[in-house]
Amino acid sequence: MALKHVMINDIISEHMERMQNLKRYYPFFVLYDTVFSQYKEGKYEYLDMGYITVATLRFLINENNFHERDITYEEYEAFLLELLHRDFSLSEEKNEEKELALHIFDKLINDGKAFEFKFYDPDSKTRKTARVRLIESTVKDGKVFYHVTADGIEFYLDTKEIKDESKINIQQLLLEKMIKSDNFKGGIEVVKRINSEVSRLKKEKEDIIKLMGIDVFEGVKAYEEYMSRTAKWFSEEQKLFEKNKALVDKAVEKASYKVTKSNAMNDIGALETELKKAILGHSELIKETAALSQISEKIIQGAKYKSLRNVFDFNEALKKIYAADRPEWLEYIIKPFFTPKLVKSFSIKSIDNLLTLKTEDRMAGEKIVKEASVPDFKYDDELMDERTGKNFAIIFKELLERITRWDKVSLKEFNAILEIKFGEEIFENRDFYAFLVHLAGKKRYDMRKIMEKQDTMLEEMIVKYMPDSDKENFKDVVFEVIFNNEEIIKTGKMEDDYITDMEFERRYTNG
Amino acid sequence: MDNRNLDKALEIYSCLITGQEVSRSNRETRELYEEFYSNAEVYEITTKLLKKLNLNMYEYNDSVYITAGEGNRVFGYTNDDMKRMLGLRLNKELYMVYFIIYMILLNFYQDSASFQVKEFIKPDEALNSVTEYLSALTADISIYSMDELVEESFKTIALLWDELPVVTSSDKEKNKASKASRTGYVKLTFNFLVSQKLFIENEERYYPTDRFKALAENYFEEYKGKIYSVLGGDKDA
Repeated sequence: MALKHVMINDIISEHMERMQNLKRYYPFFVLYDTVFSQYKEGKYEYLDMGYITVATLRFLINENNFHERDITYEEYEAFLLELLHRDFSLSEEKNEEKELALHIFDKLINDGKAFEFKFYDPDSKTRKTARVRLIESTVKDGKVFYHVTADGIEFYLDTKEIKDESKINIQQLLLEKMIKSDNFKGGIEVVKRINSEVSRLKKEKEDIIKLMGIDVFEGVKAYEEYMSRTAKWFSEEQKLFEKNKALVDKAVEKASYKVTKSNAMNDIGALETELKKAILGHSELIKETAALSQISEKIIQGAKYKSLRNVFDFNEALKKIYAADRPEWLEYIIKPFFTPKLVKSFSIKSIDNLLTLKTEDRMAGEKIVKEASVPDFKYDDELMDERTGKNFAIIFKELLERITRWDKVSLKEFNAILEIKFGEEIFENRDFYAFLVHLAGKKRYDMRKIMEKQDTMLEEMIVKYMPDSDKENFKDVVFEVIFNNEEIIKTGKMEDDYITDMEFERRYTNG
Repeated sequence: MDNRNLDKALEIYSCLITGQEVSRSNRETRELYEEFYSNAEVYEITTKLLKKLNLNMYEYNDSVYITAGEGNRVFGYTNDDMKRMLGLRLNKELYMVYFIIYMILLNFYQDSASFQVKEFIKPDEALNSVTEYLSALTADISIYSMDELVEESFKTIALLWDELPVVTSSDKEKNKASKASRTGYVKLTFNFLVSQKLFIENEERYYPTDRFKALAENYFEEYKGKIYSVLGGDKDA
């Protein structure tokens, strides 16, 4: 049951791939079927399109791959007519022959279209079309050139050459035949072809590394394909090189004791040099291919970590910079690479800035904020003066009131009054004691005189802070301070809160 | 704090600030490298010092490197500094050099995590990369008039490149750094990169240093968000 399942799976999933491989044979059979019965009333029915197709491919491979040049239609026409004359004994008017050649060529290139090979894909359950060409054209300097496609080469090689054989090996076998038949000139050509194949493989290896850098999956696929195609032949190729080198050495030896034509001698020498070059190039290729496997391992390893890393994409960054058209932004990527700047320099213009220790950009951005001055702003000491002054004025007013009522009042009584009015806390107020000290500094107080001229600081403060209504009420009051040094009165709660008693007695100016 | 440790830390700092590598493989700095990683206090003082100076430190291949990053007022270069060092006068000339450096960078790194498989770069390769990228911009050059071009645009750079000969008339000058030819510009750029210890030259082949790799692989990942916000992209790359 399981085996059946595998088989069915193979039939379905591999069908597409098999059809892809088959497609390159398709144009040959289409062309093979082309009969000349419709053309010029069947006049050229004897021509074999299958033969012409294969011959054309060989001609193009020879020119494109061996001589590395594309060909023009005129060159192809010459080749084709030569073939028709030689192999089919064609003999017609020149113009008619040219017309026939063009007709054949149009068939080969399928009138410029690809051959379409239709098949059913059981995997996707759809009909697919594979497109294939044997010959392709390019335009260079206004001229059309033709070359064989990769499918064309593969098809041609499949018809005889062993498909998987190394190209270098095929050439080596050819070289061996040539050396054995003393065709040294032909041998040089063959070695040159080997050299070009070696450099092509080197280039392919470079491309794989590049591809790995961009797309690791595609790169690994290409790498595996490359290794299976090339690496397995290396030891055999090396053996053949050794064999051919020995043959050339033998030829040189033979030529040295046998009188050989000088031309042949030169050819052997040139062949030897070319072969040495080829061997050197080939061993380099082997070395580089070995390194390739290490590189690919590292790339795969790197790609595994990459998926976990917060990667910065330089390509993407350049696209952004370009899209914004801001080349100056390149510095965001470039400058971090530089070593720290150690040599400090400044322009002469910056000397001015040095004085104020401002950097250029700060100079531009600096703003001077103008703050409006507050006209009635008061400093702390001014605030204290004001508070003291007000307190003095209040206490003095109380005193004047008592004196006005009673004519005479002792400090003890006055204290009692103040205590009732302002509470005990007044004895903890330093302004109260300061007031008494200042008050004791003068013996007689005349309100009218005080208003006119202030002798002491206390008087100044009273004038300044006593409300005008109070000044008016007490303008006629005159009193004296009488010190009674005998009695000490207690104020406040603390032990040391003692003051000497005083008396304040009203005086009447007229009496 | 042990005075000896402070001394060592300052010694490491002075090596790093002068662009030298502190490395296990370098005979002169091996001892400092070992000290840096084995003595916690030395490590702490050095890293703190670097942090305060706004310098970034990266390790690569048993070596330590620092960079001032972008926008460092004390240790970074201004455009005028750059022009003076490169002998350039105009902004577009400076951006041309930046662009060449970018193309050289892309030859080694498509992104910060791509494994560095290329061993070296030849000046010709750098020149071709620049030409290839810029030729797309100059393809429709006939429709621009010079007056329309501002100095800070890619078209200006593309035009500057387009108007330069590949080499100046005499072959002798092929390897000379100058503003007179494309080869001259590339040589000028490579000379600068060598002076910055980012590449080593050998037979006209330029090999990237570990310093170059350390920065390409680490700095940009750390500052990715900041750089993208400056470049005006909200999306991550």
